[in-house]
Amino acid sequence: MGLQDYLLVIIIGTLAGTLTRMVLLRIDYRQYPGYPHGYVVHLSLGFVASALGAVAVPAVLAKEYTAFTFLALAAQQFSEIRNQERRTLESLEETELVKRGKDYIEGIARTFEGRNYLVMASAFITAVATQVGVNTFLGWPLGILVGLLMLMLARTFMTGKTIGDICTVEPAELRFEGAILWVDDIPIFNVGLKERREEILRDGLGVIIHPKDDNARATIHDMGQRNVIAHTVSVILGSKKDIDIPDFTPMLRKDRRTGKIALYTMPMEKDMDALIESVNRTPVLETAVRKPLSAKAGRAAAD
Amino acid sequence: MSKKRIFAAVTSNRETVNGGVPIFYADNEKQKSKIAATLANIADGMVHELDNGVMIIVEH
Repeated sequence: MGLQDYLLVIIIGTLAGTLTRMVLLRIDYRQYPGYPHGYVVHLSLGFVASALGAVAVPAVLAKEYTAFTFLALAAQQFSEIRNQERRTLESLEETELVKRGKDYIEGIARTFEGRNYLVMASAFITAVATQVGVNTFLGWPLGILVGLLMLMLARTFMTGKTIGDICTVEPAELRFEGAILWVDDIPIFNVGLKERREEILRDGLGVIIHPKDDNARATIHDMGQRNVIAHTVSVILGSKKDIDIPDFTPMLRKDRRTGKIALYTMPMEKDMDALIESVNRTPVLETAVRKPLSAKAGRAAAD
Repeated sequence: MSKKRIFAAVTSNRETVNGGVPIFYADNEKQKSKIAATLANIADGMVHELDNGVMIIVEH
């Protein structure tokens, strides 16, 4: 087995891993990272991770088993990335008018760490396939085939659920009873100033989020999850909130009887369809997912 | 969760509020909301209205 074959294994493996990282990095509703340097950081790390994964295969074949321990080193690096992402987002959070919230930051940081492992695994498996191809009659294109397969797997399995998957979102009406703002039959909060009330009725929007089952109800019960919805909606539609106008903070309140959630927001763009769409596309936090229906008591309680 | 604090109360009826927080008296309804709006603006707080017409400014 010549040096060239090893090189082929490493190159195809690394390429597959880096491509996976690129596909996973497309800007989504998290709106992060939204700047070129962020891309560079994550693409480079993805490249390093995939190189490590790919190199492991020829290393083992050359009976250099210690090379495998480098993977452990890489794992440590990746958890450092998670900390670094968390720190960055936390310091940005201070000046954010509609906060992401701790849960969301944790979720994003964890995702970034997890994706690097995924990239490493994808590169490793592709490299193994290439090696197998080279050694048999199938040839090295087997590696490319498996690489593409890994890419598709990463895309389908690593896309989390969105609110639209677990809830239905319907337009609702804003109204005042005295000083209390209501979204349909759910009270939101007390607005003291008459001019503000008129402004809210004129420019505000409200929707009701109906959970599809008890699992969904438990998930949107989570305050972190509700924060994510408020943040997403404000990023996509804009928000009239400013530091001296807390009245226009987007708010989500629960209906105590049914568990449905009302959302009130003051968007820069008053567009109901866009609002419903952005609520639907809001990612469901991994940490917010609850599954009471998987437990016996939960199923019994649901009857 | 953030701490909430009543920053001030504004009223046009002297009998409804006393003690505790800074109280601002207004001559009429119009003046009352104006004072409340100004105070809220200064304190980055929010104006709430109670049933008896007293307005409170709360820092959220």
